[in-house]
Amino acid sequence: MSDYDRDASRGRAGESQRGARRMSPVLLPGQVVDYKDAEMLRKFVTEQGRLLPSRITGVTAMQQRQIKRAVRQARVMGLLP
Amino acid sequence: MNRYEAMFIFREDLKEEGLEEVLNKVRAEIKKVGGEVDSTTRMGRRAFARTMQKKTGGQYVIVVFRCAGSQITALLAKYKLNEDVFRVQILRAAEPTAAAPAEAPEKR
Repeated sequence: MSDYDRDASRGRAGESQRGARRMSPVLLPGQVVDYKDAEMLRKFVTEQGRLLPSRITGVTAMQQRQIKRAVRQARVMGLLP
Repeated sequence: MNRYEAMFIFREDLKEEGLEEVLNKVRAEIKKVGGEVDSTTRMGRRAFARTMQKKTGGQYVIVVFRCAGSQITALLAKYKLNEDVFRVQILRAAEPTAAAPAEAPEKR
């Protein structure tokens, strides 16, 4: 179970920020997000396949948008749930 | 002419010769609309992360090609008629730089 899952089970989003620990950075600045790299993208989704918020993954806003797009493209091709 | 990257999923039960045959058809369609194929990369058989249309896996192939943007819809319509093509996604690929021509970021 990821940190995000534990936090979500505690209450609705916005109620408590406790437990929502930041992950150590996994994306380097300027690193290209590729939808074919499903292993890398799995770090940014929950076990159920939902996108993790950037406040937990610690990526920049721009990277978060790239991840969002890549995850959706990967889902179409069955690389992510 | 724009550079595109198409990811194909072919039926899992296609044999080696069958796959080559379908790939030739796929490349022929690109040439028919005035495009040119840059590269074809086989990713092999893969299991889907979730069942899609009652199928659990497929054979993945990536075709990088150049073609006029107006022809993409026609290409997609053609591939939809091919029963060996389970799914296809065509995305814009960045122009390869002189230093690193291999992988390029995709844009919608």
